[in-house]
Amino acid sequence: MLTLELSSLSKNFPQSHFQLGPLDLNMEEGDSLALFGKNGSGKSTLFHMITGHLRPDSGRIQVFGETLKMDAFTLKRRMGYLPQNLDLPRWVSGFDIITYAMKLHGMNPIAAERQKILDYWDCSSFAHKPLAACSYGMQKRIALALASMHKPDLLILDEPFSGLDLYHIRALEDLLEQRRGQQLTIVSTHVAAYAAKLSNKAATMHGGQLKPLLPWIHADFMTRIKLMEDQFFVSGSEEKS
Amino acid sequence: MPKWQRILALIVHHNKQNLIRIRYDWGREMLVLSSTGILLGLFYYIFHDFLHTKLNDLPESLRQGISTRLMATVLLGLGAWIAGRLAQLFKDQPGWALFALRSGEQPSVVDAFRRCQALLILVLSYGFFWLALAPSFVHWSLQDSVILQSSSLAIAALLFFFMRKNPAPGPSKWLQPILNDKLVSRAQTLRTWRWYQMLRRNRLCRLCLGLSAFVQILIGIMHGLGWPLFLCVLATMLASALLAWAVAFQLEEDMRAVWFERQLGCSHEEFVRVYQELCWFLGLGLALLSLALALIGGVAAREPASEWLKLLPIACLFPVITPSIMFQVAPDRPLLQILITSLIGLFLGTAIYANVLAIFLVAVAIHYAKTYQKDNFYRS
Repeated sequence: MLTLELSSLSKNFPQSHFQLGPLDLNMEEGDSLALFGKNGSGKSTLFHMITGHLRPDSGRIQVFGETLKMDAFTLKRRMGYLPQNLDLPRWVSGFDIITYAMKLHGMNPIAAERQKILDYWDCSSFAHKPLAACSYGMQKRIALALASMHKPDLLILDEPFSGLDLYHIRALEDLLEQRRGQQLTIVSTHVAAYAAKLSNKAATMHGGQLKPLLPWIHADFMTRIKLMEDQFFVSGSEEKS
Repeated sequence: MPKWQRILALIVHHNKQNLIRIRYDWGREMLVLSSTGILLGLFYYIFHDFLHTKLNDLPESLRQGISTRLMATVLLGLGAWIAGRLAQLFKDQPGWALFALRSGEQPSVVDAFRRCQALLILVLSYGFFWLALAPSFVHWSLQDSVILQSSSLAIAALLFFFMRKNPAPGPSKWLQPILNDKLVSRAQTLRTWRWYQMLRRNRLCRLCLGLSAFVQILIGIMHGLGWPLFLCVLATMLASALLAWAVAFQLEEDMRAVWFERQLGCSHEEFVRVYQELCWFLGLGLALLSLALALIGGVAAREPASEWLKLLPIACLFPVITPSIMFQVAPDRPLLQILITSLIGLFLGTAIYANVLAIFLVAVAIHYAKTYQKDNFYRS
């Protein structure tokens, strides 16, 4: 079963006086969750914990029915992750890094698959350029290719639309549409329209707390956008007061 | 605000950012500082008499010659380091100067800030050398001091001239693929990925590897000239340390994108094992080269085997201990890594030179260090 379950998950950052959680979340097979919230509300921190990059202080993360530990490397191979900060190796090319990732994922035949991936993300024209010399948008497409190339069972995208032009946003939308129902997807975004279009569940993060938007499932496109904005600004003003 | 105050504010903010970085990373800085102190103290306490005897065995003229040449090298190297700092300051890279320019500050103010900061770097660097470092080791005549200082400044100016240019915009050169399309084991892929980056992409790695080979050739010449074994041991330590430094620079590059390899399902053991293999390869390579040069240089005929054979474990020591300590403090900071590796290597290397049985101490240290850093790959 492709499920994700977070129970009483929390992490404390005493230096910056920030407490994430305790939070609970349940995702079932095929779910696609849109996550939004103010900058610094804890979205990326939550992603770091779900992907096993950060150890929670307490609580439990169950991915596909298994408890996630930091050294659960077989579980991690079933995930795809696009971080917000694209720290990629500098002196290798997109071609190199995609070949490297394909080899580590055991994908074969490499040449044909690589060409498909490079073409899909429109990376062929700069595939042999050092990543340090690529623009942010180019690096993002390489990182999206890395996150999605192995058709992961859990895809986590941290602000995937920033830095992409409309053509490549469409490519990402198509990919998520194609894989709908076959994977769990969590997307953090500030663009309400994409969230409304691509997700069947939604939640907001405010001050380290996760609030599900329950009416989202049955709402239409416009209502979802309104729901998201209302929730965002209500929680924001509550926080201020 | 008058011009001079704006210049001063830029200087203060520019220098304050380093202090802020130290404050932000206070725990780690203190840990490094205290462990460095402890290691140096221990080193001095244990090996003081041994090193003193070894140094006294060297002829006075040779000792003088070595310290003079070493300090001259340091002074010339300082010139190169200063050139790097100044080039960074004068390039249009993100920083206070560029921020001020973009915020509408007068170019003349930013220019004045850069000149004052450059002067500060020059005064502090050369001041430290002449007031704190040089008096303990050498006594140069005024004429020699002026010549050396001028040479150092000339190196700084020359390198600064080449380094200060901003990189040209536009597509940089096309890279040849470093991996082939053959499906091989994960370990082989991880190893090849790093190996090719070290040899073909990472400039600092290549510099260190090249310097290590150069020092090893110098050692061969020292053997040929019949220099005392003690000096050859010291030079071998340097050649070995340079290999470990090359590894530290590649590790920094890997740590930049560590999330990516963790996400590809790399385990701590897998990652460390790859570095172990690379380091053993480098270390054994240097030991073999060291053996060949010692034999060609006729050391075997001059020195007892129990003495000159110590060169071999010392040659592979620094890279071999690196994988066991690379996740101890800050794998993403190569200078810290270099400091720690060099100190531990110096300690163990001197111990092996004093008594070959200290090799067992190395094995014990590696075992405990490995256990202590277990799973730090996921936390770094």
